[in-house]
Amino acid sequence: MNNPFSSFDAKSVMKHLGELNSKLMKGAELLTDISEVDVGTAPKQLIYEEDKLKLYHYKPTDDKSCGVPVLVVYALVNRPYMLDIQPDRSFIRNLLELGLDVYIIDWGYPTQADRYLSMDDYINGYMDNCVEAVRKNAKSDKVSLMGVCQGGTFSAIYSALHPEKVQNLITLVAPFDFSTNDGLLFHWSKTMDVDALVDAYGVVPGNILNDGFLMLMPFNLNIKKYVDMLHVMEDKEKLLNFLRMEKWIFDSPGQAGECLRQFVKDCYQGNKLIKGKLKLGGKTVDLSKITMPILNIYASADHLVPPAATKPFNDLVGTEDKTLYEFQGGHIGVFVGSRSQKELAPAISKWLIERDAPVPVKTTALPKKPTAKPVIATRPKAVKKDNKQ
Amino acid sequence: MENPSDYFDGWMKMQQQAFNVLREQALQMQSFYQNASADSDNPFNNWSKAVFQAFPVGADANLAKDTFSKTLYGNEAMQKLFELWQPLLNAIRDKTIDPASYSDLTDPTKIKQVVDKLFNFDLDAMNQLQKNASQYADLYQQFGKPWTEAAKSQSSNFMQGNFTPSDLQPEAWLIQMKALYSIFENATGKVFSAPAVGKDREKMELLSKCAKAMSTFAANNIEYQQMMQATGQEAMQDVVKALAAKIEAGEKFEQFDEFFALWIDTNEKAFYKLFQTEAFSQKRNALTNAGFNARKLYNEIVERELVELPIARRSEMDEVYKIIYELRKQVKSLESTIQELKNKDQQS
Repeated sequence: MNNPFSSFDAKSVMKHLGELNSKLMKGAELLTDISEVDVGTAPKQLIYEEDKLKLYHYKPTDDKSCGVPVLVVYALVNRPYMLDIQPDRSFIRNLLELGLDVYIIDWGYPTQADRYLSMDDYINGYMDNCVEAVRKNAKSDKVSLMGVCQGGTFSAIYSALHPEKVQNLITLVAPFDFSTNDGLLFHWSKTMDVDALVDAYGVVPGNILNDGFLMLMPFNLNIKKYVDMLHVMEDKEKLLNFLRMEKWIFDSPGQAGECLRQFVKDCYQGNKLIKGKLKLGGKTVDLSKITMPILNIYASADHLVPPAATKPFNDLVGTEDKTLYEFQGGHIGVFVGSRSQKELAPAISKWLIERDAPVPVKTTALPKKPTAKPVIATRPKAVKKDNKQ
Repeated sequence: MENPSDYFDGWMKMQQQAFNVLREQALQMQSFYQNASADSDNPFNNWSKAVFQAFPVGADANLAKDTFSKTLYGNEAMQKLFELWQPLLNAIRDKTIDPASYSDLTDPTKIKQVVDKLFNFDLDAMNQLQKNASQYADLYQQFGKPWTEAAKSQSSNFMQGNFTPSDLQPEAWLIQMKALYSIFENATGKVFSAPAVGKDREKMELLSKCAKAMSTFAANNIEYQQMMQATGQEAMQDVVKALAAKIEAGEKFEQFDEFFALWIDTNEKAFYKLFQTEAFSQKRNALTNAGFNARKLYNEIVERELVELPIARRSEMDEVYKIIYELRKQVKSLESTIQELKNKDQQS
């Protein structure tokens, strides 16, 4: 029998390994030159803060093509700078250049003092306060919500509970139907004892969830990625981009225990959102109350939020203006892939501009002279019924 | 046992034999080292030098005796014991150690005197002790017998080669381990779930629970690792098959990356297939749940231990956090009401 290793062209392989070694040496030298890995560099201004949360307003371009401000709601499990990970691959910068007025919520890093925060606090509390702050700042009666991943689920829930404040709803790779077992997270979460997890930690460390994400593709995410790094190590910019992504992946905030408990029990295990049984702040979340236009974007090769978890949303909402958009790529590729930059951001912008009906400003609900200073944490007054869409 | 002296006579005889052997050995050793070259730096010289230097040369023997006895509560028996060993200790201190120093140690009369003083044996007590020991042995045997016998049988089978190739598969080992663990749980392991009594009852029960939770975690971890390892093995076999197919087709890997891609893809597929199974999902959750449970119990133990220290414990801080959380909500609600009133005022 032949030696299995005779299948290698030894000369070529040795040459290749030698080249890799040279790249490694060069890369090691470059690594020592990099002292800072900068992310989220698009200029922005803090306009509101409450507890650990911060609301930023990105500096708009001069030619704004869309009057209704867009509030980006990111997931709790990762940091929102993924959308602005590097200057030449920034989803946010693209949206700004396409004339959108963009705001973003940074949920911050919960500490043990935040362990009792519930989904109600996040959605009816923080999110609602941010919507109010954006309305005031933009002098607009309504906002367009752009929810990403778990932030998309939150945005849909918010839109069902407060439809009068939402002009358009865009969801990106967001889970709604948790009954699917297509994604491993969905499969594993079904029998997970979330009570034991939350009781053991209070605020669940981000690395526990992150370890779960890395296990979804263990060989690619834990081995191949670092071997591939060798090929880009000699190029400082490419190396820097790799480090930016690496920083983002392991920058995982802890999860407020009570919120995670409810999210896992009611959504992953109970699938209550789809069933119309999810309750928040004493109210049932009825997806048919979502009457504004929706753009539901899913990624065809998403290993975290499979299309089966995303697509059914369009069948449950109350609006006739609903678009299902398939992006050819994976979960992260939606934001940083080259196709995303060329294709997705313009598509979103176009969709929004088409629906940018002028919304009359209800001056009675807004302060006479909007302050430039950060707004103090306040729960806004209830919006009048005649504001409803 | 009819007479305690029978017991001691037998014991003394054994001791004497033991000391005789020791003396013989010492003589041989001494002879060996003394015959070694005077110039050589032999280990015996080094050792004796270090040990003897540690002894205070010229120290008062009575002082040492006094200190020794006081250290051991001034018991008269301890003084006897010291006297018994004194010749040897003196010999060490004076560097005049010779086998004759052992002579007193082998004197049955002297030893019996010491032992009598030390333990104050009597016939009834000895009988009772023997009875108790016998009962304990029976009880223990009953208690741990199923477990020890299963372990014995397993190892015996292995030593005698009574196994088939399938017994050497990781799954077989795992099944055996699980069987052993299960038998242990129903035998000796019962101790860990038996209700405790007394002042520290709750603490003891908590410690037992935590020990059990940790062992559950460890057991789950072994099963989990076994699943991963078996899948890794299968994947490696697939890689080898792919290599063989390449050889048969007369192809070669031009670059290392090609082989690496094959290895990664094959493994990724194999593990993805495993991860999709219900069995893996259940095992993974059993492992993490066991870990969370063990951590929770461990935290409780730590809390109990910290109770005497002037620091806030986790549960106390949780109460504070809860209060802060409720207060924050109240404050926000009040601020909102104030804002509404202000707005109304502005409108009017």
